[in-house]
Amino acid sequence: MNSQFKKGIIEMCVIAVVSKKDMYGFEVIDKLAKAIDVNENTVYPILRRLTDQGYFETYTESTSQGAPRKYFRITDSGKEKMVEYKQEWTKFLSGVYQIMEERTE
Amino acid sequence: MKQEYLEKLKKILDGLDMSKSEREDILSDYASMYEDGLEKGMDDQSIIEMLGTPEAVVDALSEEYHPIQKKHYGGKLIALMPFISVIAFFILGFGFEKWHPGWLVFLSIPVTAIVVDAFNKPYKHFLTALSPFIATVIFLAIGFGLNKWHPTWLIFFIVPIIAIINGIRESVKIHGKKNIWGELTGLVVFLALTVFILIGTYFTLWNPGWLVLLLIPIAGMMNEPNIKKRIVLIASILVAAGFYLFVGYQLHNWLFGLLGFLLPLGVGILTNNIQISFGKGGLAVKLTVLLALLVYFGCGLLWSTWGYLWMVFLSVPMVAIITEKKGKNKLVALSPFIAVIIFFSLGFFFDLWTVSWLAFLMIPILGILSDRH
Repeated sequence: MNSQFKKGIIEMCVIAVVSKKDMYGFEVIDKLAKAIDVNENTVYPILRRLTDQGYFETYTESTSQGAPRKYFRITDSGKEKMVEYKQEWTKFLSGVYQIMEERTE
Repeated sequence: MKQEYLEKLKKILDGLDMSKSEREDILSDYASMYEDGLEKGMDDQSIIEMLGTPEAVVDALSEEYHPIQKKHYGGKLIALMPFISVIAFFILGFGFEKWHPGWLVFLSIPVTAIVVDAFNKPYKHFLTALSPFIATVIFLAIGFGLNKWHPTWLIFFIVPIIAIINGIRESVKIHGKKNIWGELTGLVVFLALTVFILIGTYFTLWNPGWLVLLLIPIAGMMNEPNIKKRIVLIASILVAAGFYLFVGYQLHNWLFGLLGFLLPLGVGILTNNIQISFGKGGLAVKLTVLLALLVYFGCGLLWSTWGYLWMVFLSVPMVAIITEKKGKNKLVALSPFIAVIIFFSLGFFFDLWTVSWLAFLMIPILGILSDRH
């Protein structure tokens, strides 16, 4: 799969998992790695970029074990981005299915 | 191990253009993620695989996250190199009457640009970016030192070979070891060509030495997912090669021996691995393959032109470029093939290896002329 295309999908998945619940960096990487074939070391830079673009905000929370953890929370603009991604993705997939079905007919 | 990882990451991050707070934030995030991995019971090796080595982290960050960029070193040196070269050239010329080979100092201009560029590339591309420099130095040193321009020019194959190996390593990292035969076939092309030219040059075994090129379709067939089909296809090529050698050496009729290759051709068509189609541009390439084979074997068998006419096969990628590429890029893409033809022809027919290597300079010159930036 084209690496740019894959990166776009990973970005969408990162927004999707954080939109469901606030998460810390390791948790996001772990969650994605379990679900899809992903080059894990690209996830953190994407998280950081999305935060820089205002789709996420961060806050720290103390843990029982050690130093406080940084959590990522989706912002309103992140939620809008998620809706936009979802529409694009649904449209894209329905187009792909349409083509696949045409081929098999 | 954690401390060592973070210290290495800090050292590399120090070389990037970014604010102090940004650097400290990234380091603190990685310290925290490493700690999370340990808490989950992962060992150091698995954590580093998951987070990426410090080099991979920095490559990914500088590609993905634009507020941090690698510092660009050596810009002043590149700018100064033309002046330094002119001064050095005049000193060698006026001072020591060494106008030739003193003019070679001008090669330091592109060479400096290549070396500086390599040091500014992401870590994973370092060797690929440096390989033209390494190849040029080895080529000129052996060429001038031992007058072995041919076959030393084969050293330029390390440029695509290193790029392909890098691509395979990346692919293995992302997709695992599956599907690497596609890339390995690319590697086999250059290795088989090198072996073919070396045994042709040193043992005058152009024929049947060309059989080594059969490793290319064999490597390509390793992509075939059906193991039975794969075995049949490879076996048919080996049988054909054996038949060709037997008929050639025992009956002294190489032309008749070629008939053996109808077997893999037939097997390929029957198993659908060879499809005869006439798509856009594809027809020209297929006709060129056919013509090149006819010319190479026809002339080879009639006039023993094996040692020179192997270059007709360069027409195949050239026709593919002409039919598929557009505009100025076409000439740039064609330039390595044109350079090899000029270099080899002048060397082979007129023994001008000492001068003919200059043909390779057309590659960077055309590249620079067509660069819109």
